[in-house]
Amino acid sequence: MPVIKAMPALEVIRGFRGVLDFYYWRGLACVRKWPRIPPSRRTPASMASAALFGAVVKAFALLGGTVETLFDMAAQDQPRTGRDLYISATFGHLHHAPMSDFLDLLTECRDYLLILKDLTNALQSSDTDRLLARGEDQLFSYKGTLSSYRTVPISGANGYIDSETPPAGEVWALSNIGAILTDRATTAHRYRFFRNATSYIIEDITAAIPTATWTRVRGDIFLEPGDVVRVYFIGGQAADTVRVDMTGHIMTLEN
Amino acid sequence: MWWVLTSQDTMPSYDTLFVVATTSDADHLFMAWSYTKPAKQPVEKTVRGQRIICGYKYIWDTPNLAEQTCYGDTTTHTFHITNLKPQATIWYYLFAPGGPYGLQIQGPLSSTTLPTLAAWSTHIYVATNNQGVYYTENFTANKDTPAGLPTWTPISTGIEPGAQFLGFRGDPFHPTARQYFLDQKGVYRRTTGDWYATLTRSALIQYTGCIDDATSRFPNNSLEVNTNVPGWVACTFVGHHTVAGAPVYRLYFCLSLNYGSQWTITVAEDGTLNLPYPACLTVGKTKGTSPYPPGRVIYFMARKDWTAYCVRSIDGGATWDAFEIGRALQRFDYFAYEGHMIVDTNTQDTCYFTGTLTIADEYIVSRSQTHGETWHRFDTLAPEPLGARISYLALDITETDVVRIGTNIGRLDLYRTATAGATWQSTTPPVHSPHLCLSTVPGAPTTLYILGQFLDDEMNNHLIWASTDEGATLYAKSGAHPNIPDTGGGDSIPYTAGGIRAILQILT
Repeated sequence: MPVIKAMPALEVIRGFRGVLDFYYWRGLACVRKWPRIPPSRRTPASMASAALFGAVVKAFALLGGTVETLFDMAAQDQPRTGRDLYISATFGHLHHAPMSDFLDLLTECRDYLLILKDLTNALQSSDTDRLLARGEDQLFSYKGTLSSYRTVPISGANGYIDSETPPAGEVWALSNIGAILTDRATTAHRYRFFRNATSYIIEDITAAIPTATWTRVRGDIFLEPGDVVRVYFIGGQAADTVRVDMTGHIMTLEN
Repeated sequence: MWWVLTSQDTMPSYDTLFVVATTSDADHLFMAWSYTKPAKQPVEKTVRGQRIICGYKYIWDTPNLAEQTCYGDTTTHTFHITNLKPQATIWYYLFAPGGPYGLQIQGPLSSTTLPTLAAWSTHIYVATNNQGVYYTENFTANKDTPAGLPTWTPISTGIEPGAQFLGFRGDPFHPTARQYFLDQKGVYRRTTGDWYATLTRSALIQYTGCIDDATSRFPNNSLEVNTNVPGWVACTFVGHHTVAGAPVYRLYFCLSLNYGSQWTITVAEDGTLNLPYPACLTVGKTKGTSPYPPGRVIYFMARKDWTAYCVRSIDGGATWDAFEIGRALQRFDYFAYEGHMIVDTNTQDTCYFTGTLTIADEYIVSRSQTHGETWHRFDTLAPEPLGARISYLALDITETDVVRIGTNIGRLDLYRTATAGATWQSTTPPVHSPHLCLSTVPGAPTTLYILGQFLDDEMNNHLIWASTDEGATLYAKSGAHPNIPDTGGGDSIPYTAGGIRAILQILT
């Protein structure tokens, strides 16, 4: 950090641009080698900014003759050149004009229009009187009514039954789930949502449930392929027959 | 998003401002404008401990906003501001929200002063029938004009002597710097000096493969420029072809987007209708109630036997359609200006047409408000029956719903409607001169220039009528006819120029 006696004139400083850097440190005039940031230390944002700036500077050649003249005329009474003003204007720093709410509204509408434009581009019409909307894992379309049941021996004492699982490409939207043990009375039916070996509670019905009596859960549950509804029968014995019913809608995933 | 302004042109009028700009990339632009110059705020920064002013920023105090007239993102941006203070200076800049880093992307500070409204344009170009163009800088229509005025300077070098006039236009934004002239040889362009051909008839005949005879030609009044597109100049051409031994006339639309340097030829009518007599190319100026961008709607008329058609494009000349205007029209192409078509300057979906009826020997005026697809004929045009054949018709639209029509029935009549054709008034006392063309001064609707031509044996006399009271009082200018003295005292346009066919006023 070489300290110099006095800060030289601006013309001198500018003359060493790119070679020497003059600055003050705690009131002391100093000089150092012109700082350079190695490319490896540049962030993606700074590189993108530099690329944009370079493109804007290069595009000065496209400027129309009358437009360039206007910039040059404006630069006559200030240190900046017409090119400087062009760059300043491109980045929005040449004029400051408080805009009314109307323009803000217009801008907002324009943004919405762009969204609508994207949406329009996402629409694919396959027929003159039919419009197909295509998304990515976003929309379901109705395929049919779900009526699924499964009857099996219980898994063991106080055991359970797993429902059917949707085939590939389908999603089941369940609105009703019913369960029954036909051989004896039970003290509780516990409904679980089972995915990837993990269970999540749906409903616990704890009561004196007589023999061959249905319990029912209503709701809005979505099953994907591999998912099942598991119902535990508390009080059930091995070899008892249990059944689980599910109704709802069969949906298909868009892709 | 960002762009570069590749051009910016202004066309100020008495109380309107028309700005056209082009950008390197498509965007939707706005204009901030004000009657007062924005204040300059110094942009200061500290350089090595010293505060310096590195430039200025323009601070606008709640400027007016104008949006470009075209919908959506475009590369050509037009702004049309009306009802401005006369003679005011307008300061403005173009911008678009959503530039780099979320700020505006801006254009330079621009200004233009609306021209003062003089009683007369002192700078006038006139195109003669067969001796090119004449120019004066001291035209006055005052009865007390000093002797020797106006002095006319011929501008005809490069145009073949004797070539018949077919069209004359000035660049909308730089009328004194660039002009176009059309005769039967081709389209000529002039910047500051001589004329030189940019599109020749011989090249068109070779390109289209039509027969090189008198019927393959440029039509009358078929040269046009476009105030919405800088560099736009166009003309029409009719080509005589032979299909299965029968003559077929195809209509071509010739368009240049670079001031006549290069041309694109489009078939406007492929010969299905077989229209050998097209005329009067006219292009929309203001969008108005039309859904199409301004300057994209183009019309010209064409005739076959006793049926007149409107040939129209709504996409800047890329595709064309033809619609029937009416039947029983008589030889409106026999004389140069017997028929006329002009688009309403306030809304490009409206177009006017004049022609001559065969049976009744009277003229008709029709209007279409549907881009030329359907036409309505005004049956009660004249306040009194006209007893003679109409030799010349011209039509001029200067204000909203004001239409002027000049006729000749052995005298000059001007008809004017201020009710969009519902009612008409005769505004001019009879003057014994046929009438060729009307021209008005923006902002001064009562000021008229009327180009006349005497029906002498050689059809070669000429004059300019001028009036400041909508034709009630006429002053003859540049008249070389011995029976009409030139009250201004000066006239250097030769008697043999074949008559004045077009006028170009330069507002100062």
